[in-house]
Amino acid sequence: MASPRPSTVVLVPGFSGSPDDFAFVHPMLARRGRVVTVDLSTEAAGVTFDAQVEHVRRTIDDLADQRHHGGIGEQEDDGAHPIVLVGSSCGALVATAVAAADPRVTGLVLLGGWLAPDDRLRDALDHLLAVRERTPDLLDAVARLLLLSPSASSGATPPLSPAGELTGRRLAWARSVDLRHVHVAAQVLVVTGRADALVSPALSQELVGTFDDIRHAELDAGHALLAERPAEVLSLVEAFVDGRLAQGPVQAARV
Amino acid sequence: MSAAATVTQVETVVVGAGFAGLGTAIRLLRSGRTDFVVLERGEGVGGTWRDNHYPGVGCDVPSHLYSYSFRPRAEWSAVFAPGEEIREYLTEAVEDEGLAPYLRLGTEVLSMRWDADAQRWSVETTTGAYSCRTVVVCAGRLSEPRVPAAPGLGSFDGPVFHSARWDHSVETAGMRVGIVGSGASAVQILPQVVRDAGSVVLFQRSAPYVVPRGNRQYTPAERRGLSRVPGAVERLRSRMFWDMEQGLAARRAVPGFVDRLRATALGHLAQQVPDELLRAVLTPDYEIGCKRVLLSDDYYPAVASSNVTVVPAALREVHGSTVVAEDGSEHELDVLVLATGFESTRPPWAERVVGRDGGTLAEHWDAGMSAYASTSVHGFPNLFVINGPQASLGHNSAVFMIETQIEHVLGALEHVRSTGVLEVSRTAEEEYSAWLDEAGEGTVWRTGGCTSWYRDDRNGRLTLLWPDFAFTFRERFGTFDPAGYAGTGSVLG
Repeated sequence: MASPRPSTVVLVPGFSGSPDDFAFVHPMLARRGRVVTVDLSTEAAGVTFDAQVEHVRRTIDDLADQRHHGGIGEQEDDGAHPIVLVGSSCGALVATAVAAADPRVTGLVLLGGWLAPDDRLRDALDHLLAVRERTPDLLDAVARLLLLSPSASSGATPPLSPAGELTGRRLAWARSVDLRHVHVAAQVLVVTGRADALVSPALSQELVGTFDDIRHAELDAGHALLAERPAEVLSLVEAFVDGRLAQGPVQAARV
Repeated sequence: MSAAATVTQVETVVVGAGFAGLGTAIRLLRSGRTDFVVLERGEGVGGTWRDNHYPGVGCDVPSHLYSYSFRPRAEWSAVFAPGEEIREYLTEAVEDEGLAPYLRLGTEVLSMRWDADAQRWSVETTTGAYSCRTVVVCAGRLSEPRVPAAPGLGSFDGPVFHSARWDHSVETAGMRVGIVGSGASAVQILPQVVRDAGSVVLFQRSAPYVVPRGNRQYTPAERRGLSRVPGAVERLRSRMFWDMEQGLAARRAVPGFVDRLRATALGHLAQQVPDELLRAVLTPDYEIGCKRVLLSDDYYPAVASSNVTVVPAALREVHGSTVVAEDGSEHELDVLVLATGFESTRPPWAERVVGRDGGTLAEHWDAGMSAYASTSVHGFPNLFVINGPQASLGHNSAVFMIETQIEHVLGALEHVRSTGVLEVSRTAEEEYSAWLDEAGEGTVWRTGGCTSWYRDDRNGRLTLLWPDFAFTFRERFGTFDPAGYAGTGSVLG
């Protein structure tokens, strides 16, 4: 984001709703600037899609209030500070909805995101819901198969725990939300996993094709990009926040 | 005119034929530059991997990552290939890339002086003199063995040698062997020596953290598959790199990450060393990551062998065959191995480099090494240092950093062709060092409560280390930008 003001990065987790999704990215981004991770794992954040969108919007309000009350950069605070929203998986839906309605959001990063599910994605979400309800002790193993690529290291953890009621609610609304009608004016970075078993290449391409000011990267990973390639995601987010990514296909440092 | 009086004119002198020097030479040649020489004091190439041929020598970065991106090798024998295979890889690079005509082996640099009038460097060597427009120093940071200043060491009754100068004519089988040091080399040497030594005394000044190595051989099918499937080696390398980048979180003392790494190491120790007293001796008293974290599956079992004694103290002095430790204990030994590391923060070669104002680089670095972009030093025009100050990593591959610097230097050399002289401003160098000092705050390297090769013991600064991600260094400095040499820019934007 080419901006004279430092951006605040707001991180929106996926199915787990837990800030743990960003356990690596949050502290590493924080070495460069202000970062807030939204906790959607409790009822305080609401259980419906609209409620969670509202919760994130209120979080942005709170950040603005903190600035106005001298918490952050008071001396140079003569207007709205830019927000970069980073949404992961179904958190990308929440982030997209917020960005579409809030001009304070000048940058939007979507990690393994989509706009509306296709049959394949709905099936996958239904399977996860069914496993969670009938054989919850298998949920972690099934999530590993669905959310991680076959090349994922043994240390990678699928971000679907805790497998509580709220996770089920998120899986449920994720299969019905449709944001294909939204318009987002912010700059957008779409990051997809080449081996994503949930989000098809067609859905990812739809995402890339929807926004006007778009950068997009494909990683050698499954759906859970933050679990498999957190450092690579971080490098892309940092470059995006710094305004170092030109429109079009982008990539992290070549190794 | 005698040979001694002949001054060879070249555009660029590269000093050193290890990973950095050979990599520089390859990239120079591939970019169409042929007016250069590579000066190497040894009789062969390979640098660290030529000098270190002790039993069990290997790298603790996976071989597919610890190799040039521009020379991927599908045939690595194991995840962590042995040191000899790494040396062969470099030798093959010389042959394949046609570097031999540019190599000057057995040529030690005696001095390098900047001639302000000619705007060239005068390089005196043991085999002749060179005049060049640019110098790329690739002397390595693990090239000068550090020998303890213990009285009497030189008059030890038996063979005594540094781990990087292993004397293979010395028989250790059945002997009483002393190993001084417990760092990366010692951790690899001990399991080999203990197999047939009569006894081994390990002088451990401070205990290392050791985590499982998990090495394994690649099967022939795996190697062929990597070779045959387009992009397979690159994908494996990329995955290894980005996985290792996560290691920075622990070094920055991020809760959870540093806790998991510590738990892994202490769990490894507990699993492999059941004896409580020995485990206490082997338990580090500083935060993990402060010193280099070592990888081994056979070190602890070797230490726990009945013929090994761990002395939790450094070497104090030597009388004949009696070796005295700082704790006062005395040990009768036949062979003494000094696995005591290298002169990394005060490189001796810097004493031989005389800059624009007549001072040496060692004097310039009297308060600790520094260089803009970890590469260029104020007062030393047209001189570039690769794999020197502020370029080491504690969590990822040195070769990635070396390649980044090489690309930076290639751009700088092109710039010099048009401008004649390139010298970084004092401001730029100081701003860079100040940023590194700031970036190092709060890391385990600064707060972990240890002394380490990353820190300069004169001031506690991290003069050897790039304390951020490897990808960040690549993004910022992988492409040469003359604007940065003036200073007043932010290191991280």
